[in-house]
Amino acid sequence: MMIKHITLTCILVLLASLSQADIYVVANRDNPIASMDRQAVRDLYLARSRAFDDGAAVTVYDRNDTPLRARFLRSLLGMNERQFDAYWARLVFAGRVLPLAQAEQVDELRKRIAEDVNAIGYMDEMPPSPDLKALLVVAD
Amino acid sequence: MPLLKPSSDTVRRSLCACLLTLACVIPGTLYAETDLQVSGFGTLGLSVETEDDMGFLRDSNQSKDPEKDGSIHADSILGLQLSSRFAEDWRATTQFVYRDRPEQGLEEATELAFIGYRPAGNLDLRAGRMAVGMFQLSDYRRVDYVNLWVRPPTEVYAWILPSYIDGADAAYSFAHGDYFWRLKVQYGDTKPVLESPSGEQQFDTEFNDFLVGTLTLDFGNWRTRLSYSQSKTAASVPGFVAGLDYLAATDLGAVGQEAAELGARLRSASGKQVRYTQASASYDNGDLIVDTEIARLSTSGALVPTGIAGYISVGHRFDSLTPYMVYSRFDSDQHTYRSSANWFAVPPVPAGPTSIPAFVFREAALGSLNGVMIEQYTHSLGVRWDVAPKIALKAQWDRSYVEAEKFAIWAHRDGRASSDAKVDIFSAALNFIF
Repeated sequence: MMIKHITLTCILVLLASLSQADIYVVANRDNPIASMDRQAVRDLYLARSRAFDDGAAVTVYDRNDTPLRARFLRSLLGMNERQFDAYWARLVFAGRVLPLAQAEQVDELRKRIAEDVNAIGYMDEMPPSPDLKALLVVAD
Repeated sequence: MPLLKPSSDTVRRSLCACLLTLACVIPGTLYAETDLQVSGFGTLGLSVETEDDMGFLRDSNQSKDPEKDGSIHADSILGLQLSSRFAEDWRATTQFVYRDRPEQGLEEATELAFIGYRPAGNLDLRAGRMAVGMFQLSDYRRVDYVNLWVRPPTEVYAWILPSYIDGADAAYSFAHGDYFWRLKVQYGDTKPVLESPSGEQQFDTEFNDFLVGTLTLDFGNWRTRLSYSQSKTAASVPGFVAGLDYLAATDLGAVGQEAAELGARLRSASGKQVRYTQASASYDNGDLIVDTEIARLSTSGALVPTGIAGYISVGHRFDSLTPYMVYSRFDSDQHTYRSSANWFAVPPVPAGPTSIPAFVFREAALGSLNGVMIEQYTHSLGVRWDVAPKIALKAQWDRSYVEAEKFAIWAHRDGRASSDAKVDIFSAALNFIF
């Protein structure tokens, strides 16, 4: 009985830790898009597309100077931060795109996305605010 | 050689000037309180080379000093970029770059200044001043942080005079799964300034009706690119050709014949087409980095280097350290102009109250014709150290073998190019972006 209890506890702890490793791609609650697949989010973070399927231009938020960023880039794009920075520097300084929008603190990200129906970003928890919704869960 | 201004399209130039002004003004004023984005890049670099009478150049349109063996000028650079989206589908970008060049001024420092419009999600239109995308790294050749090396391989990039054009471009792109295609067409003009190999004279150059077509395909860990570009040079007849004409008219022997041939070649250089065809591929799986590029350069008679240029580079990331090696070369298809006549035996050429020895005109003509040629190869070894986010330190050793008479991407004085050279270049650089 005791062994079964310990095993169950371990499984729950493991599941909880796995759950904490998930990364949520979030958008404004009023955004008409209900969900996105990985490729669509990849395309946005690689500037290969810059609009939702309905044609609305997307404001893509990055999370500079956060530990979450390295996990997100590795999980979604298979890149480390240096590769991603160099990739975007090529695009920006060639004049192809505007720099990514930045929101270091999660509160700042929540606020910006709540104000912009066409913005997306990422965070390491389910959107706690009723103004936000998750479009994709990226497993770490 | 000095180059003439061609007949120009005043309306087009006025439109370009207006767009440049707008692109400079919009980011800094109208939207200063909304979404002005400031970013930049830079390099603090030191390079030392081992030949006393040759000067290393990263770009042939840098200031030239054959006696300079060590300098921070070759690689050091600072760029500041202002960008703003000023309407739903409109944006403006201006980029100022401070680097070593023959002339310093706001006009020269403004390397990007354009208005961009996106009528559809996969179509980009720009007008103003933009990087001219002749080669793989052309769009960001000044941003050393994004490349593995201290500088792009000089055999492919040092001789490229045009870095931007005043004109317009259109790019169409689409993604299909992991395959991302992009087709871009550019059109415009540019007028880079060039110094003579000794650094004692400056020449205005012009590349008109510049047309560039580029197709890129990114998939998986690969980036591939094909491009074709063509332009027309505008060239004046150098002043010393009058002396060649005099010799051709007054000397009926071998000197007169050579003078006539050299003069005719120099006169025929204007209005000729220059063509570049390029292919490149890059692979980066996070550990292994391979870059290769090859280009074919040809002309219908302009005084520019022609032949085949290319490089291959291999590097491997070990955490924050990335050692790499590069092999690059330029194979010229141009034959050196030589003189066999005895120019010392003919009378000097009258020049007002004085006179100039005939051989001076020969040297000037041969210098102009042979001075554009390149034949060399370089082995490079280096290491990149990513010391902090968006900051990299690099150290690199290059050994270049340069063939006689084909010294176009080196500063040198008359006579030095008559023999081959083996040059070592030791470089260190701090790169950053913000």
